[in-house]
Amino acid sequence: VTVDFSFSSEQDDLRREARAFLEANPSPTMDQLRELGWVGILQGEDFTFLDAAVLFEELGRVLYDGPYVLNEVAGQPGEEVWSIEVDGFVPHLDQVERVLTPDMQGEPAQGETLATVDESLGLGRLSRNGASRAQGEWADVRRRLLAALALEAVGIGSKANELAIAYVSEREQFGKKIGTYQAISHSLVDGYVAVELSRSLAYWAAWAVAEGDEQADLAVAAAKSQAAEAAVLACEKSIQAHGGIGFTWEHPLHRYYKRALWLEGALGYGREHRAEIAASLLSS
Amino acid sequence: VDRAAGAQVHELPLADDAAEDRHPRPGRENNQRLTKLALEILGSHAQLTNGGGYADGYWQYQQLRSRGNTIEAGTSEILRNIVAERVLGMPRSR
Repeated sequence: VTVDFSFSSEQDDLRREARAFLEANPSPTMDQLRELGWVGILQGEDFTFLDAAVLFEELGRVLYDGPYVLNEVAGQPGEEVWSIEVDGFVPHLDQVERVLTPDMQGEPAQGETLATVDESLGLGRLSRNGASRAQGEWADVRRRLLAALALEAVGIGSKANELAIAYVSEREQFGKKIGTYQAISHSLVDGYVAVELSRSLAYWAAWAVAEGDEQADLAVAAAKSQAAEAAVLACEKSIQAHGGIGFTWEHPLHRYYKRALWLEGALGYGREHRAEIAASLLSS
Repeated sequence: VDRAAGAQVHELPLADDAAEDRHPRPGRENNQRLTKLALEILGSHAQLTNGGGYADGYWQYQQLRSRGNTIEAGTSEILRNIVAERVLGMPRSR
């Protein structure tokens, strides 16, 4: 059986529209996203997780700093904006109204916001009081979340690679563009290869989630572990290739790097997911 | 957080990169690996920093700082060129 993993022309159009919109508005409000029809994208019949996947990746590229992705992954009905408690902490706690917890309760979004490495994360610690039962199963939420994190990581890693390639194609040292030195170019190729391999896994994971495929758990574990690590690697290669400028507060790279570090740890580091994959392979 | 493991890692010294030190020392890249391990040990607390983080965000700061170690005072690429050409006598690239 062969499966065509390419996106449809409608999905390619969606990506083009999303990229143009997000380049002009990298930090859109939920109301803006609602106007675009992106909010509740997984609730109706018109779109699948593969359509959402396009948006999640594009939002990663621009370092989107709001609760939209978690709200869609939480998949709760109604007008309220939701976040999800991830490993005991809630991203964007003060930007949402309710929080989905792994025991599938919907808690009012109250608690304390914490100082984090990625300052755009708005990570908070939830004070639990007065939950109501949320819809759905945590296993499904977790699967969607792992896929979404992988897709965001692909966006982050791609952007980090593009920034590096543009820089080494301009910057000159010793009379030559630094991209002509193989110590630089081979290092960036390694970052590119890692991100592109993870892109294939992330799209497989998105497809498996969309289809409810029996290999979905395997796919999301593989995608998240590979994509988050690839994003971290791509950012590190990019910072190194930029030299001093990539290490400054003014350059956007540190923000991409910090987000990639969050993605790497969220719902477990790569080795935890690889252990899951190994257990699943060895038991079959 | 496994505080015992965190405390043990905390004991390990980081390589000190003095600006006048022109030798490419593995310490610079080891800083990057060591601080990464420390963050992985911190697990879900790896994002918490400053007053809210383990050891006041020491490892978070060191991890980010370590990326500069392979850039400042001659990038690792430049220092490897120096070893290749001047120490090992390999053909010069320019």
